[in-house]
Amino acid sequence: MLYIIGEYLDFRNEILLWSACNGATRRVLKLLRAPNVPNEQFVQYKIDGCDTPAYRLENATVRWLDTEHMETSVFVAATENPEPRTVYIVLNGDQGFRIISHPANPSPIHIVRTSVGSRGCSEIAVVTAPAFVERLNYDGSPKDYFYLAEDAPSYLGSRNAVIAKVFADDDMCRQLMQQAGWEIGTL
Amino acid sequence: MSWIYSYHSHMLRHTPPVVIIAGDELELDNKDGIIWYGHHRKNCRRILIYRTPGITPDMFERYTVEGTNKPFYVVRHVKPRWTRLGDYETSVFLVPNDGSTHNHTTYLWVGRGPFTPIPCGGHKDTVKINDRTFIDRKCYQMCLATSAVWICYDEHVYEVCWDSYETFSSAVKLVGTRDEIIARALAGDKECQKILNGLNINPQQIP
Repeated sequence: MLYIIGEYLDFRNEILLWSACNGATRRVLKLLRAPNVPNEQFVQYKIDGCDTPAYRLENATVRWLDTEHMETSVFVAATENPEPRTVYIVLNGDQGFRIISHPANPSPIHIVRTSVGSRGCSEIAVVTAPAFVERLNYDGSPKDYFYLAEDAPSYLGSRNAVIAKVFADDDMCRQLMQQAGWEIGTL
Repeated sequence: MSWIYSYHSHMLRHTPPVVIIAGDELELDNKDGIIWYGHHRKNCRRILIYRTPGITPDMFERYTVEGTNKPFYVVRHVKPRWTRLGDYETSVFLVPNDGSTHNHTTYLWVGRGPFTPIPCGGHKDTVKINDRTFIDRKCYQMCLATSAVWICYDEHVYEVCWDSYETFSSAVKLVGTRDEIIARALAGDKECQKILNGLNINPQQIP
């Protein structure tokens, strides 16, 4: 299974689905598709609790290319033999994100590239589930969290919301808290 | 004997020597006969195309690659001759020809480089000249090939292929952008896979 999460895709273009660049001399980030992936293969997925777009694709694989002239292209192609594990393509055209590994998957990142400019920090990553995503604010502080699970992505909310769920014995949020190294003061 | 002669004369009529020059504008009325010139500075190679006295400017038919502003020229009854002077100079001369000794199409791609020529047939020997004036991010470059080639710039891939002397439609086509070529190759397009192989582009995948 392949999920694309974080940004709306432009299906009017036959090949280029999303791109971001934060300045003429900055890296260009692109998400593209092979012609054998029709629009119908992208099934929009609603994540509870947020408006962040997500798409689910079956029988699809991901390839990528880094060029010397500051360009990163990630391709989605149809295949009869998709990866056995769930793969996520994480996009952000705003202030970027951080991938936090899950205890069951210590090295989830296959590629992560940023396009840092004066006004923003766009980012693209290919990640194997399970993993956590921490979206960032303009000042680099954490904005909110997602859990990229094997079955589907879920929204965990802000840092305080995650901590509150830990007190309510939420295992997923506890794992995130441990992996992120947050310390909670106690009497 | 007669049918051999007939076949031979048929071939001469239908595959006469044609030179396709693409990639850059030519200066056809230059007094010295230098119709294209690429040179950067004192210590780098000079690259030239000469029009010999028997070749007149009106023999150059100018066309534009569909979808771009790239020019290309078709010159009939012409054959190329070339010489390389060490590291200093590469010259191509366009010489009149009636087809009796030279009866196949030659392709010249000139202009700003760097670009990579990839023979469509896969035989490296078909690229006779592939010289640059200066190896840098920007340079002038000339490629002379004796069979159809793909010319790959950073972003675009052109196919230079003469179809027929009589039913000529276009000699140079825009195959697509680099991203389109990779996307089509991933979808199983054999031609685009050959181009990617020629460019040594191999998209990474999840191990």
